Amino acid sequence: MSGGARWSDVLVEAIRCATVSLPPDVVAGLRRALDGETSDLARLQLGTMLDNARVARASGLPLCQDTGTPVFFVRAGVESPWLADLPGALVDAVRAATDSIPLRPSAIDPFTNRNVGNVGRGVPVIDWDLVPGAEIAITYVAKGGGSENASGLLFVVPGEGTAGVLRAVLAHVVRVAPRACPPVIVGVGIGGTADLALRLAKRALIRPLDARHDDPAVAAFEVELLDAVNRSGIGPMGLGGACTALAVHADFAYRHPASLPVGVALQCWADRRGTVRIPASGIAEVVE
Amino acid sequence: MIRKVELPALAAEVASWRVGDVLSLSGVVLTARDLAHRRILEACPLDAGERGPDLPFDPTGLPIFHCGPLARRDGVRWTITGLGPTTSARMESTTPAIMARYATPFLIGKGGMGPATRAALVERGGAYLAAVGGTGALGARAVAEVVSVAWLEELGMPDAVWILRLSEYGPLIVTMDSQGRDLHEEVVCAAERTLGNASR
Repeated sequence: MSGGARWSDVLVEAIRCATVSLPPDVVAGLRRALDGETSDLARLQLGTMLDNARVARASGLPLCQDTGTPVFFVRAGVESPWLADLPGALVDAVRAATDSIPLRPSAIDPFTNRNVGNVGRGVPVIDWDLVPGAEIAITYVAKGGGSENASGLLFVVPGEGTAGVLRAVLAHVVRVAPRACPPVIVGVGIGGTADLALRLAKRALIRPLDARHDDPAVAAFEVELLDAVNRSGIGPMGLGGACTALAVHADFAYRHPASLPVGVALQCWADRRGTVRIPASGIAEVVE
Repeated sequence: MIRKVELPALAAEVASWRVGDVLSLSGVVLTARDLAHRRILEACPLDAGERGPDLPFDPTGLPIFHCGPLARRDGVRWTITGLGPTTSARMESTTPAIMARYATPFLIGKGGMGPATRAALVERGGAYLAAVGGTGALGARAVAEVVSVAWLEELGMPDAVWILRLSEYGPLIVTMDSQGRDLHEEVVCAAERTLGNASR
């Protein structure tokens, strides 16, 4: 039996769980946000989000009608015997999940506007990170269109340093957050090349809400930016309030002397994600 | 706190809605997003007289919901399994003409619209209602009936025009009203003032 056939049920189950069930850390984040709000409209909306999470989990209905672009973040152990089977298995899982959950067909040819389902050229998106070892960890994320449209690639003058990065990201987030279903999760990739900065920002989104970066300087940047974003008063759904972002996750790469690219990725409060682990034995399991 | 509204609502009632009011809706609405707006305008330009021959539905007097629902077909019957707002700003350039042509009483979406729609709402006594984004499961439970669907084959599920009968769909927050108030704009302006003050 190929790896793909063997993992199909597990991968589809991970997609189903992510689609209907808000992760516990995000539920806790929304509850904290609700406790911190004094505005009636902010409280009404956060309460509605939590109600929706309860109804979705109990009924098996998707949290959001936009079931998103399917994205897989793969940390692939280079010694795994299953690497060759993986791309096909991920595509098959998206097809099966689209039929069985069902997911909304959301993959459209940009030239013809034809909606082909959820599998097409470049979709599902698969982000490969080759790591030592023989284990594969796959995190599925449903990326909604509204939050994806709020992505940004900024070029900060290197002399302005991380203070300049913070100012630029803050200005960007305040401008775009109202359309990204706040309270959002903010991913920031600092340095590298343009594409790497955005990739780091995207990968940062899948960290648990309360996990700060290992590097104390980066962790301090995360805390300072989160505080500044929330002082903006944009609030839930952009209608005013104390909580605009649930978390900021940053990461970095070394930069060219002339260049300080900054990638910004946002995820909506309906942060649908799930992780599957495939050890060398090939017996896959959903781990979160 | 939530005011229950039966559709169709009288024009005077819609004009009386004010920013901050919270409503739930029961009655018929039409979903349309980017491609449907363009197609409606192509079929029926503003100066084409009465309803154009090409539209397979009549949008006259129906509220427009910026929404691409998730639906499941069981035989000939459709069930909505996800219903909620999409970002309205994408429909800014096409909305005023459609509102004028089809007497659209009000809009439902998320994130607000731009200055042209704001002006159209003032001129026509309309309103914009913000739904809570990402709450598709609650929305699905508020669909009483799928009345019809058009352009499903050509545009696909999210971009098709769905005519739905809703039952107490809400909470919906009035964020743009007939007096020209726009809560989205007010919040962003206040945020930019806060940032400006912080950086001085």
